[in-house]
Amino acid sequence: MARRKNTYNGPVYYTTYQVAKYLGVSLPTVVNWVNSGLLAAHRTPGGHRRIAHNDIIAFARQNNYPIARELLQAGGGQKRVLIVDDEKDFSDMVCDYLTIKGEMEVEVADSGFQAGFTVAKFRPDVILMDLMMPDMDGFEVTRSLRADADTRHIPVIACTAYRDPDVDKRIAEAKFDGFVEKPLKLDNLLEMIRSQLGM
Amino acid sequence: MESRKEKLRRALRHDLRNPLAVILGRCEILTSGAMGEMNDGQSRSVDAIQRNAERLVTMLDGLADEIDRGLAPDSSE
Repeated sequence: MARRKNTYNGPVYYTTYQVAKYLGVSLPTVVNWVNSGLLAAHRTPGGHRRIAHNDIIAFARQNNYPIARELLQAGGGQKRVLIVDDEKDFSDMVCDYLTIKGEMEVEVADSGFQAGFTVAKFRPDVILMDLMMPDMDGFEVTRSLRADADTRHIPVIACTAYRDPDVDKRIAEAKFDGFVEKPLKLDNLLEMIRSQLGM
Repeated sequence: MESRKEKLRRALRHDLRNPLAVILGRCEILTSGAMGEMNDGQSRSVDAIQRNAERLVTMLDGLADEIDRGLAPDSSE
């Protein structure tokens, strides 16, 4: 079951003109991206295109486009972090720290199965993924996220208390964006997350 | 099927480390002042909890290493 831990401010949307400005391209280029389905957008009742902040970031990452710091910081409020972990006390503890010290919006999925639904709904900027979970483990969830064009750009930081040569080999092969071992220093985790977010 | 040695190893390397991760993390949150300033007595208490939890982590790692090196008996064999 997913648990929302603090208030969600809602997505921020940009005009095609603003997107062109942030990405350093012409307005017709952005319109072409939208019309060809490369960049997700919706229309206002007045017929104007609006693009969600997260979709611009996802588009830029998928296409190896440089992301202006101004755009990353203009995210319209808090960055979103998803914690996937079946240890409730652990995820609550990390959630409290990231919410208070990191001023981030945090949501928790307590199983691998739940993670998939929560990613689609919450659209996190980064995921902290426990590797050892019953049923669907963190390796499998990450494989599934990376097989999906909509989610493969999301950085995944692996987390586990269990280490042995076999696990270490699997971690190396999975090419996570970061790795932390339990017990962990929360300030190090926050720094790692901020680095992944370009903050 | 997992042997008793493997079960013990997993308990030392994983199951017992999770609660210690929570204890140490909560100590870090308290000492960071994120939940308000503590008085001297509270600070000393949290420091002692943190120090001793870290000792337990070191002990668990030592025990698990001993098992890995085959120094601990395995009654399933």
